[in-house]
Amino acid sequence: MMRFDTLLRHPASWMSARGKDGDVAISSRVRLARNLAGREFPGWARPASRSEVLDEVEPALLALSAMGDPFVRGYDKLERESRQVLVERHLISREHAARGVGSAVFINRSQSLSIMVNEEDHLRLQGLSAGFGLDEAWDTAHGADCELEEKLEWALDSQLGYLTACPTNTGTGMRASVMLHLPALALLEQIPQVVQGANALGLAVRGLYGEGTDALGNLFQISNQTTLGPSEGEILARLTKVVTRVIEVERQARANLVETRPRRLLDRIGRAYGALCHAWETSSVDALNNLSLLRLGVELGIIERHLLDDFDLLLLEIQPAHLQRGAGRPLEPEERDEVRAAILRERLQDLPPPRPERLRQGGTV
Amino acid sequence: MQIAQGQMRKLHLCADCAQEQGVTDSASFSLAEMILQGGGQPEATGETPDVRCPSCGFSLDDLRKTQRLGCSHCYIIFREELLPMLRNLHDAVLHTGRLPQGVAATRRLREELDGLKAELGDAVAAESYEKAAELRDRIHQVEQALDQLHN
Repeated sequence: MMRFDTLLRHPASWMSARGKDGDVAISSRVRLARNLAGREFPGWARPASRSEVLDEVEPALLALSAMGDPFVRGYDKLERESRQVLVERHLISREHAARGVGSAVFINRSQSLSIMVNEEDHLRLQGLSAGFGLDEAWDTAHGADCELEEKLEWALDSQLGYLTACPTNTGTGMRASVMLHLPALALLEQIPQVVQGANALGLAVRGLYGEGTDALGNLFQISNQTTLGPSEGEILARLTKVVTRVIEVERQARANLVETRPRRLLDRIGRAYGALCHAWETSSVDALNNLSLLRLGVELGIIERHLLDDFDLLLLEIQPAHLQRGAGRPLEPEERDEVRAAILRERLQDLPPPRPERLRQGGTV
Repeated sequence: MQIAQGQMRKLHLCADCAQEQGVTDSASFSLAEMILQGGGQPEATGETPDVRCPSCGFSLDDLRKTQRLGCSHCYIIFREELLPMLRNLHDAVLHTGRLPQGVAATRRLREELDGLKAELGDAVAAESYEKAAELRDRIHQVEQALDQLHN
């Protein structure tokens, strides 16, 4: 069984690797909500009943072919600080981190499959992949579902499909999403149009940490809203179409900025570089927004790429729970800003300043 | 900025709250836990007889308040209330996606059976006895297949 420290030391490849359309698409996920037939949903179940569900599903989860050498932990044995680290890594949800008796997480070695037990539903199967990789994420989640359905009896209805604690998930129980980095559209103040367009097609646009979170660092998750009616394939096809379009529009916006407002662009990226490399107090909002601009600088060719290979890891390291874990103690907000600034200065000390002359030839692909 | 279900609202929070709302604040945990755990099943409200799910005790009132359900059986008990809610959320009330292999097969067979029975009725009404005999054979086959699936 994988240890927590091992999990932390080896971030998921979907997180560190550059996937398809990696200049805009950061990561993809497909989540399937499943419940056991004849059992109260976790939110309504007594603690004893939730524990029984965990006992019932555990052998089936451990036997999954994708679950070799996993990290498995019941929440009675995983302190809240550690759960926060998993939230920041997008391996569990904020809602799940807040749960108690009977809740547990099963994460496979490559961290491409994360299963939450007793979240809002008995099981949440999540397939994760780098870049614009919905097919891969679907294969992972669907593969686990197919193996589990041989051993566990799901709550089903011939008319309504998979039954879930919340009617917003009934039907396929599937939520598919792609995390996109949209700095140029944000600079051009075109995000509201993107949101409206996506909404009109039945898709939701959310911030970095899902429902109810702010769009920090110009990172946006686009996901399906509808789970009942269209098939999984139809939902994925619609999402793919919209995401493909948003990626195109972001690339056009980058080209547009390079063409029409190079000075503004260089100014923003230059200031971000300066702040990240020289500030002594950095809030997480500033850090995320400046790192977003630095990433844009990399994509436009004016900032060295190789030093920022672990860009997304740096993004994690400066999150509150990661910071405190690194420090080995709780930190006050002001302390966090100081420690965060120090980490950024140290990690970026060898990063050469932006090279404006490369702006035009660099461009977006 | 928070965007969900076609609505956008701006959250005015200090930097740390915006970043960390509900993420590191330990107070929010206990609150979440309190709400999420469905905390002890509520006492009967008294005067108005509230419909309750016989399986899990969840009430129609709970459904209206929480927009959640207590167990899968609630989907049958509160169907009348749920269907408009589902239609409103999804614009549809019929699942066309996948089902577990065994269940999907059962459903396909049941649908086929219903179709065949309807055809049989028509055939008998039209006095096409040859066709009716043929249909009876097929119905028998499908019923056998269903029996097999269930054993």
